[in-house]
Amino acid sequence: MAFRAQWRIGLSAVDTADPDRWQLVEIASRSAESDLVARLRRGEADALGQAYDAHHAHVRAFAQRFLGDPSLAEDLLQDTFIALPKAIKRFRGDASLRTFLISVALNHAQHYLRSAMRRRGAYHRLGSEPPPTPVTTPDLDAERGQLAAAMTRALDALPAEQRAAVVLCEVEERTSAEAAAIVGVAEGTIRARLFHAKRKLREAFAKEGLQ
Amino acid sequence: MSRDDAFARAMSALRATADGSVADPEVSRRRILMRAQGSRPKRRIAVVLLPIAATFLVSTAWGSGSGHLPHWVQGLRASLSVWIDGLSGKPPTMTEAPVVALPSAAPATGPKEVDSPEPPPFAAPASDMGTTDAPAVAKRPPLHARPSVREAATKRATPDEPLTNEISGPERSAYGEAHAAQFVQHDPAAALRAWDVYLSNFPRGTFVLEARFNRAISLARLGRRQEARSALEPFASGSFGGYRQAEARTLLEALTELQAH
Repeated sequence: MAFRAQWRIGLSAVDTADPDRWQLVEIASRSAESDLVARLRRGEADALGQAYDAHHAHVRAFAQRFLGDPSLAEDLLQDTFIALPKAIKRFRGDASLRTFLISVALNHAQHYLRSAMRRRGAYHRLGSEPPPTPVTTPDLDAERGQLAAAMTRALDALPAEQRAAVVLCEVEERTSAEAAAIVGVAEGTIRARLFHAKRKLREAFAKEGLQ
Repeated sequence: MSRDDAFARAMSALRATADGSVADPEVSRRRILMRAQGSRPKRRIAVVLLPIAATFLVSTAWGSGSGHLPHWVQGLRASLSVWIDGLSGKPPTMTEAPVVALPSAAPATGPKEVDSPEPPPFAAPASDMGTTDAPAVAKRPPLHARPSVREAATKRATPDEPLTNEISGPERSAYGEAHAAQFVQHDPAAALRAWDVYLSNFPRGTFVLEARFNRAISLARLGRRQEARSALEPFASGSFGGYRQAEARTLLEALTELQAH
């Protein structure tokens, strides 16, 4: 129990010898986020930059996975952070700021998703492959790139809400509760969307001969 | 390879190929901040609400001064004061933003410490940042020259202190000292002294709630659990609205568990 209590309030390695000087890392961390949110609400100048520094990689990853288009993902990332000072007024603090940012990105993604799908459709009609997703690690092999492209094509056949459920729960491995909080629907709805989406995706994969 | 294998590997491939890494995130950062500079907050609602808020503050001023107001009214007063300060035109917005950082603190836009638990370095509270006296934060006296808790306590605010909490240089300086002691120097004893100084000198200051909460954390860090409990209970019970309520409750639970062992 004592260990649990230590874990809950955070225990710095420096202070392990002195139980009366436990660093309240977890509390302070949440406190830091609360401060950041308060500063964003006040419109403080450096708060937006700080939010970007802390969360841009996650938002960008979600945008890339959801849109399947790195250049449009960059645009979505910028729109998300530019919308943040205004959107933060809706933030109730019942989820993390990162989760909130993903929901903001999702709200702004519809327009970009249509553009991305049009672009992929045009490439398909012209008989050429869409531009490959940039290889970000040296050991990323060609097969992985092909599989990712196949998954993006299969996702294009899904309704946007099912696509969101797949990206959040399967690709980003979030819980259905967290995905529900991001999308703003009931957890059961997310599970149902995911169920139908996965069935369609498996069918699409079977058609492509990926088995 | 089964169909499910391919499916799972495709998910994994999409996860790996779109991992959010980019050659130069600084470019995006600059673009975002530049674009944000072009958008000014709309204050139409404020034009309607400002007179109502001001009337509320003035009509509750006597009660606040004599300590007869319920906690929730005091909390509302503090929130409204912060809001009005934010509308005064002085606070830094996304459009006008010289950042004044403490000399001892890391620059606000400096390298990010991902796991750093502390709030960002104090960069001057809202109202006066960007005005000519902002460097007052940087010009604060060294620690040994600062007033002790007792000295500060004797200089309590007078009854005719302005109630609208326009942030003065001394208030900003006192807050900055306490913030630096807690989050930069990581010295809970010094932080506690500094928060006490702030609360003694500015009992109706703009940052009273933040000061009280941070003081409670300093007490907990010093092992003064009973005092920490007493300081946290008003937050946990919602005396200040929802301000830090969840954090206070979590901290109280943790302190209870520690006391049980």
